[in-house]
Amino acid sequence: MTIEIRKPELEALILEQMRHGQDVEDILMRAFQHPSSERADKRPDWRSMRGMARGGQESLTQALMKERAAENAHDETRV
Amino acid sequence: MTKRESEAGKPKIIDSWAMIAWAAEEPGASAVQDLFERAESDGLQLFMSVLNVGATFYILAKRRNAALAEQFLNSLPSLPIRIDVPDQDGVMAAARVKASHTVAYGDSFAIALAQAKGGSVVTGDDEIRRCALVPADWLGDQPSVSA
Repeated sequence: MTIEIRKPELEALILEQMRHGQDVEDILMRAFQHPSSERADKRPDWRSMRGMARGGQESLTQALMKERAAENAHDETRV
Repeated sequence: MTKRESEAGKPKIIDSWAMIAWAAEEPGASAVQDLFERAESDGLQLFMSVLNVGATFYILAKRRNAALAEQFLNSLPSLPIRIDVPDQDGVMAAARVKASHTVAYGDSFAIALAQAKGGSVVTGDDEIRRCALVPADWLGDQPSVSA
């Protein structure tokens, strides 16, 4: 039997796992045993991203503004 | 046209400042969260330039750590935001903004994207507000984003 995979990202994923010594049939078997609805539950949820970078000593928005100011100062000096 | 329909038709551009504020739970995070919720439930169109994604990534990597930046990148596709990858016209539109105004190169892409989409930039970055090329949904000192 020949199975044609039309999703390049899925093909790349299977090839990657085969490079790590896994058999293509085992890879497909696992995929069929865990339907896409179950796999979807394991995908990142954007709500969990909120506050993921909190807790540092410095404000990240202020850090961004410092980077921007340095870039502008550099550009204006060159002009 | 209802307010919701009108609002849903006006895209908003999430810039680096807004994304970082949300990811770091800094002032403005709740307003950004509200926009994400409305994008998911009400069809509000949100865009972000890949240049601003890159800026967010390097700030997280430099000021926090590389693993956190990678985690951000991996989770990004789950957000109700369309990531815009500019073509040559998009790059040159941003370059024209940068050439004529004192804004960072990354900011110029957010502004050019807002111009192209006919929308506003969600930001707390005063440079974007001051250059006044596009409307700014100001997060810097207000508790919520204007509708």
